Amino acid sequence: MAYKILIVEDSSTARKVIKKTIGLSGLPVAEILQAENGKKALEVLNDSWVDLILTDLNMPEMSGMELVDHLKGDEFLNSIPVVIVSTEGSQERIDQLNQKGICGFLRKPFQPEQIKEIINNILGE
Amino acid sequence: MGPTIVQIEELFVRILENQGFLFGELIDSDEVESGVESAIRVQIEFTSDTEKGSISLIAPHSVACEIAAGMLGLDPEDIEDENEAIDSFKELVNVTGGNLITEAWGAEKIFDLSIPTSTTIDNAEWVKVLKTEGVLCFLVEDEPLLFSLSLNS
Repeated sequence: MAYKILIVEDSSTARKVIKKTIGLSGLPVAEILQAENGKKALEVLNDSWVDLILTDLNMPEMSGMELVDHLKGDEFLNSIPVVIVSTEGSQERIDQLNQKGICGFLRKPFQPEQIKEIINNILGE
Repeated sequence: MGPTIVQIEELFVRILENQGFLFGELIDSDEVESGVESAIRVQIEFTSDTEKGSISLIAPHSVACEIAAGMLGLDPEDIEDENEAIDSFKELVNVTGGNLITEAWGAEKIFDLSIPTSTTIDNAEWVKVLKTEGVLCFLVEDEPLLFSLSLNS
């Protein structure tokens, strides 16, 4: 099965790097959608279903934390697995995110093997 | 107590290599040329309950292009859009800032990071930053990059 993944990142460079890294990981990917903040991500999710969301935390208009809150409060979208991709290193904040129901945390900079492992753990090989 | 020079050097060189496939080395400020026409400064601010500060990276436009090319897997000549170079440089300060504050103050402490900003500076400002005490000078692909950490605890 090939995955449909949504990348939520305000940096166009970071979006391209994540997309490239997913490509290098060898994961079967059907389509990669992109949004520059949480608000735009919700607009994308209005039109498209995705298997997984990879989101940054620190973004203008709507942060990754706010996006997670929106998703978890939505009866349709709350089942989509969310992985945080961030430079965040505070264990307390990661614990807060885990309590909100995120499925994984990937700290920048990361290697293709790390993203492959985390996605395979969530979606199954 | 902020990060040590050794912590900054090791972390920044590692991130340059991991993110941009670039080689960087810490050099003496006397070795840095002052005749830079203009440069890009990218900055990120951080705040915790006890610490407040900012990290700036300042480099000529050509270095930002090298960084963008390295991060995106392109040749520097392929970076035609100035915004692409600036965006990559901002992402570099974002990754550097996030990792450095955790390394310096530990994972137990919660920090809020700002969204990175960028400005263009002229030669007078470049010289001023270069002469500022505590500013670290790196050589990246044979070109200068200044690293400034400001703490207001």
